[in-house]
Amino acid sequence: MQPPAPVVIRTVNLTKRFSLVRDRPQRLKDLIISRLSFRRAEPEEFAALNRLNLEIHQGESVGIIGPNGSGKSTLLGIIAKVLQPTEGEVWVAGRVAVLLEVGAAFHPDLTGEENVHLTAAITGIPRRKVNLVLDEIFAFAELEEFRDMPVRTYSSGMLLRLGFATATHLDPDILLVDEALAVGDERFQRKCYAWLEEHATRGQTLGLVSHDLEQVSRICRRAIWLERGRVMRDGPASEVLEVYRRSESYRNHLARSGL
Amino acid sequence: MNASVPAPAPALEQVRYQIGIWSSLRELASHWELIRGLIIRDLKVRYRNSVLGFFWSMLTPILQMAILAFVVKFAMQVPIENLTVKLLTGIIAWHFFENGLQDCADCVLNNRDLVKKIYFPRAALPIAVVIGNLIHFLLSLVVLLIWLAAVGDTPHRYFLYLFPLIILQTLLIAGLGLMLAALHTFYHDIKFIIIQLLRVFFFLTPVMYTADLLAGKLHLTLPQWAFTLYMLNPMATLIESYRTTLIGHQSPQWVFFLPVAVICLVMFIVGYHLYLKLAWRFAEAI
Repeated sequence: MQPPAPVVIRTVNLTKRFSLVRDRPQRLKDLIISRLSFRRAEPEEFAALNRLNLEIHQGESVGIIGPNGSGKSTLLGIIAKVLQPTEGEVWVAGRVAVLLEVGAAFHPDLTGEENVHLTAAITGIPRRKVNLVLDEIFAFAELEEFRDMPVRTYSSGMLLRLGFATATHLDPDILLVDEALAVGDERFQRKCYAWLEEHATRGQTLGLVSHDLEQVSRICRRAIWLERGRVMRDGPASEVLEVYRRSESYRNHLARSGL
Repeated sequence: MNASVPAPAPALEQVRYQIGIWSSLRELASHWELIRGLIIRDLKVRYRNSVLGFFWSMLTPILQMAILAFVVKFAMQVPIENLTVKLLTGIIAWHFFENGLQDCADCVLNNRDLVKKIYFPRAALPIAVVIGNLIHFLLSLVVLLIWLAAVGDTPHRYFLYLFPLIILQTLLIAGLGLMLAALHTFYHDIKFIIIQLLRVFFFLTPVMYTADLLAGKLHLTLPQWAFTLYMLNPMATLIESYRTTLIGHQSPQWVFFLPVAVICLVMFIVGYHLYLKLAWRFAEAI
């Protein structure tokens, strides 16, 4: 037996509550009126995450599944430091990168290369380090000829490829993916899976939020099933997926998605 | 490289969500490439498909100067020395203030895709906007100094006052800008309020006239307390100080300059603090 890999993500009693005020004051007028009116609506609260305790080890690829509103994206957002927890602690080792859907970080008027530089700068990676992998990024994305074209001229498949190549080649310790791995055609997808697998053996940790159970079973060894902000089941992906597939909430989810 | 041996994991650290001004400034310093990237992005986007590009930033003050010189010479009969340069000084300083604040108000919403998904030091957004506007201001200032040299005003030691003045104005704009950026993200009326307030303050600030006019040296007279209040508007004192030092070859009026310097600093700290307090809720609010 190998010694267990070190923990790279740990959450301690992690709780996130959103206030459920239906119409949060968008305008000052609403704010003033709501402050003046006598019946002050008690803000209802909704616990997206409820005292969550998790440990994720180095090199693990973890799929996070569950119906809509189960807290999957909230969990990812908190680990990525985009959202602040209401209570509890989060411990992280190393640099976290988030893979965005269809190049959300890209500016249409900048060229592919400029966008890669900007994305790297946003995540705090020095320019000289980016220059070292720039060729690799465009080679992996198969976009060498489009390097100096503004990305508004790219197709959505091209944007996805560049987005994936950028996020992965900047070599994060932890890669978080939120529903964004439907990357281009089947062939390119296989290339992405192969890349992720290889990097898992080198110690890169992957967190994947997805409704696509097929995808989770292909990429992840471990799966965590969240429901109303709590862990329903956590273990080897094949087991968790099987139980989840037979569960009522999955059937409801399918029914709601019209499948 | 041996692909099968995992690299050692970095140490596990607790994620800190709220940080203070000092840590935030240090974080910004380590993300200077991000600030540079944001400034370059905004410039490129502003001047995309334009042949002259950055030169437009220089052309605006040059044209303004020409028009002002014409109007002052032929239309206005005001016996004030160097009126053209004085007015131009006021105009470019005011533009820096006005454009800086308006751009700051929008900066978080303009980057909502980034803010919702990725962590980066949030203060980088308004700070990049302020520095971008500062660069435009400096370019205009160069035009102004060339003009001064052309009309025979050789460089003198009062030029050195430019440094503290520019720094104070930048701190003022950054402080108010951070405040606006944070508030506008939650309440979209803020920008409209600001546009109206800027319109009022444009007249309450000696932009298109000089403070002498109010001080009683000409025919308009104000009681002293009202004039003091008027000069405590930081932009009024800053613009007048640019004029006294650059054109009048004198030190700024310390009675107004020192309190205004304190106001600028306090604004910066208060604005920054408020921004950091609210920045954590941006991703939920937009």
